[in-house]
Amino acid sequence: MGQEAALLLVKRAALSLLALLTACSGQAPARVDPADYDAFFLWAGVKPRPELARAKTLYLLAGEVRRTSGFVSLRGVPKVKQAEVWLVVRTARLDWDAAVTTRVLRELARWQAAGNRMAGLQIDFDSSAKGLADYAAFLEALKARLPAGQKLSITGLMDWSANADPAALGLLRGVVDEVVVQSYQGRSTIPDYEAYLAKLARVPVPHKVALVQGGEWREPAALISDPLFRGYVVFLVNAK
Amino acid sequence: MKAFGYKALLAASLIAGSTAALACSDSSCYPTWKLFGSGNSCEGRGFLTPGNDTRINLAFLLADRGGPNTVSRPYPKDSYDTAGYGDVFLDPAAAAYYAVRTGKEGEQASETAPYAGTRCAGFAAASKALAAAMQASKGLPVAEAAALKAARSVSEVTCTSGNDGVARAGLDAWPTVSSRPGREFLGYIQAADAFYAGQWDQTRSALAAIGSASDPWVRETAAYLSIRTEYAAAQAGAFSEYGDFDLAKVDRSSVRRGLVANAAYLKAWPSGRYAASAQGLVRRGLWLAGDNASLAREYERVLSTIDPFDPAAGDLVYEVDNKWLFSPSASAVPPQGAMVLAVQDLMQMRRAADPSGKEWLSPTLSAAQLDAQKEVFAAQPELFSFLQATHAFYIGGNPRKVLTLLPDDAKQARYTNLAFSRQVLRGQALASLKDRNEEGFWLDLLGGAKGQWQRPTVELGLAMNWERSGKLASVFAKESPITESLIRRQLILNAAAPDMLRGNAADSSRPQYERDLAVFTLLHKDLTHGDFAAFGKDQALVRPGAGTDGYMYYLPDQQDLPLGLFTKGKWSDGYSCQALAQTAKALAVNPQAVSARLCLGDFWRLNGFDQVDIGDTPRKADELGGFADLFPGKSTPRSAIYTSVIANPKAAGPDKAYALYRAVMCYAPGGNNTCGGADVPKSQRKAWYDQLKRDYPSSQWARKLRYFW
Repeated sequence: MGQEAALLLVKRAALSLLALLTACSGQAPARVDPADYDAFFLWAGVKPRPELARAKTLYLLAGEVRRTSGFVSLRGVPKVKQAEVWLVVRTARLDWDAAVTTRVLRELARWQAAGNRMAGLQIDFDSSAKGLADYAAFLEALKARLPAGQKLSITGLMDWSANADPAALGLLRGVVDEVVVQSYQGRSTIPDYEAYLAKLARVPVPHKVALVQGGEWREPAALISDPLFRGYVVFLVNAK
Repeated sequence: MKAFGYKALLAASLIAGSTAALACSDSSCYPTWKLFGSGNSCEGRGFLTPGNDTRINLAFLLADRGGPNTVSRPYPKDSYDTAGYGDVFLDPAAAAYYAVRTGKEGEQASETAPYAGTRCAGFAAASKALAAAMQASKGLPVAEAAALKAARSVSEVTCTSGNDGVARAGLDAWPTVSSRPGREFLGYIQAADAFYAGQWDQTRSALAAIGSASDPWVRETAAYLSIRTEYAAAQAGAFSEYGDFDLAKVDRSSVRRGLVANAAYLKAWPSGRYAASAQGLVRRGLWLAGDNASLAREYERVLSTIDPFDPAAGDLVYEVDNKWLFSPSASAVPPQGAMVLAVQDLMQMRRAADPSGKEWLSPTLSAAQLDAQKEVFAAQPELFSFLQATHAFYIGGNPRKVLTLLPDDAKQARYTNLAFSRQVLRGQALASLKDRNEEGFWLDLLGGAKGQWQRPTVELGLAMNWERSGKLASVFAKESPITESLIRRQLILNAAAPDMLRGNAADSSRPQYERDLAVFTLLHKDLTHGDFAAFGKDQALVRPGAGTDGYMYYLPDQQDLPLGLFTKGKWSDGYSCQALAQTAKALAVNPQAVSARLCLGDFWRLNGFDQVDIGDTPRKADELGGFADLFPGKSTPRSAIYTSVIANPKAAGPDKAYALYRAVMCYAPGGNNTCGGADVPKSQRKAWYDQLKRDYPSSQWARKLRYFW
């Protein structure tokens, strides 16, 4: 057996031993507890939780742009004192007409006028890894319309880190200020998250990882050494 | 709404009108190619079925009030989340609008007015109406009218300031007016200003002062504004600091006053200038009041009176879904009308099982419970018998009962959504009984299937019948009535015989992608199924311009198909190989030629074919393409090439070393098998690694391999 191979086996054995020990101690897999975090997604219909009182960053879903209509508001104007606020727009389409963009920017202005400390606008769009170049073009146009001082954030899919063309990922640089990569589907962490996140450093803009409340989570080592990693955002869910 | 969504399911939100979560916007949610829609899929079908999103079923029934479905507008365009749907399947979010709207996709009916989404949304329109009313007023002096107009326009600052509670942000003083109409118009301007500023008591007293104004516009407008004021006041305290709405915090006494004002307005001005809006506000008031029984009655009334092709009908479908069917409190109130009850019944017939067969979604409506609803459906016996037949088929597993309940009516010239759904269900029953009249039935039904999604639906039924009755060639025949390319593409990938693929490739009347896919599948299967001589001839079918770009993620429907890989691919990256044509030629002479086999493996590996699944995982037996693959032979996975070279005593040392290297590398870097075939245990991978290091220590492959996985 080659030396490296042997080494690898030893490492793996150590890891599985650790896993075994954890299993033997009867611990349930680590779960995402909002109490351990200070940045949150608040989607429409999700009840605010007490942890929000000490939040430092909030991503509030303001509304959505559907395939069949323009912007539909899903939230009143917040008045958040304690945290920096991102106005999140979920969109199912990228061919926004001028009215939609105007409407979204007005919403941002209203939130600002109500005294919120606005970080900026976040777009939530499930772009395929293949469609990233189109998405980047959309974002660039949107970025140009943002008022001074307002940043542009996007949610991202883990699939991008694995399957996107590096050139397309590169297009996001200079356009978006951050990508918040979702590690879950529905209420569960995606089983292979460690494998995906190992490649997260390929996303060449500052990135955060979105965790789902109650989802399984162990911080992969690759994240700690990733220079562009900027922390976690917890997607809150209502109790079942 | 579906029972489960990809994103967290969203609850109702008042200002939104709707927050329907899109079920499965995940890319892995490709449609299941069958008519049976029981509730475990993302896609909707073009007829009433339990598995459809409730918005689709409701929209179909609502649209039926406008007569047969003969709408001939373009289908919604495929988008990222509906790849592979073709015109057979529906995206719930789009379809709910499509079924009832005359508009085209792409309409972004965004409120373009300034202040959209705020209380000031109507400012400009109201200013215009006010100006017209002042113009029409006989006793209003010109000078006062001018002063009032100016006051109104300055009052807009209240809207732009964005600060709640600061009325008259731009005014030092109201103008002085002395005429009676002047005082009344000023009263309105002041009331509206307080309303925009969210000062409810001030608004109320200002409105009270003009409640019996002599000017008809002022009087009616004040009555209408009273409704808006009370509902707005009721909600004002129900928003948290995060902007979310809590129904429990609504101010009930304001709602009560609002409902009284609402009824009073509609009584005094049943067809007044604000009647339509006031009618809609009734639903808001009932919702705010938590009066779900009255709300349900109101929804029934609106659903049975609204013009089904009014764009507002699409919004109504969303609203009913959100505020009633999926509201935990409201859905406890049983629907009194047939339309919504039918939608609810279908939803309660849903059933779904996980891959192991364990049912995780079970029907909650028994046949007896359904029968007990007979009276509600007294005026719609066809809807009722359709529901009974659906229950018999989907829950009772009794297709014969379907045939009794739903007589053959396949020769109509056109169909409502309900009439069509009845026939499709009959067709499904004929299919499951293997009735010999099934084919003729679908052919008859094709004639009248003129509505949107209807023809592709019938084509799916017909294609499945042909596939199962040995007539697959009819799908590919020149005069085939199957117009939906995606139906043929599923069969190309999973069922077609080589000659059908060649014929389709040569048929210039077919779409280019479909023809390319036929060649792609043919060449792939020639090689995986071992017909290397045929490959030599079939390679000529690759058109000169065929590209090599695009990785293969969903062959039935992706942007580019890299058909050119078969002629201009990558052949070698270390182990020496000739072009694929030469490799195939060598294999045609001797299918066991070791070096050529390894080169074939390299072709698959170097060109991204490892994840491509063409017929390797058969479709389920009840799906299109799941009956039998007419392509002769069996597919050989890449892994089998390596294991057979390793086991071949005549294989030369360097070839064996390469096979060992590749066999181990199949599991790099994560231990997952990327070479197809059954997984081998880790001990086997270690044995290969050891064998390579022991038997061929000086080979480049032994030197290169540093780990096993």
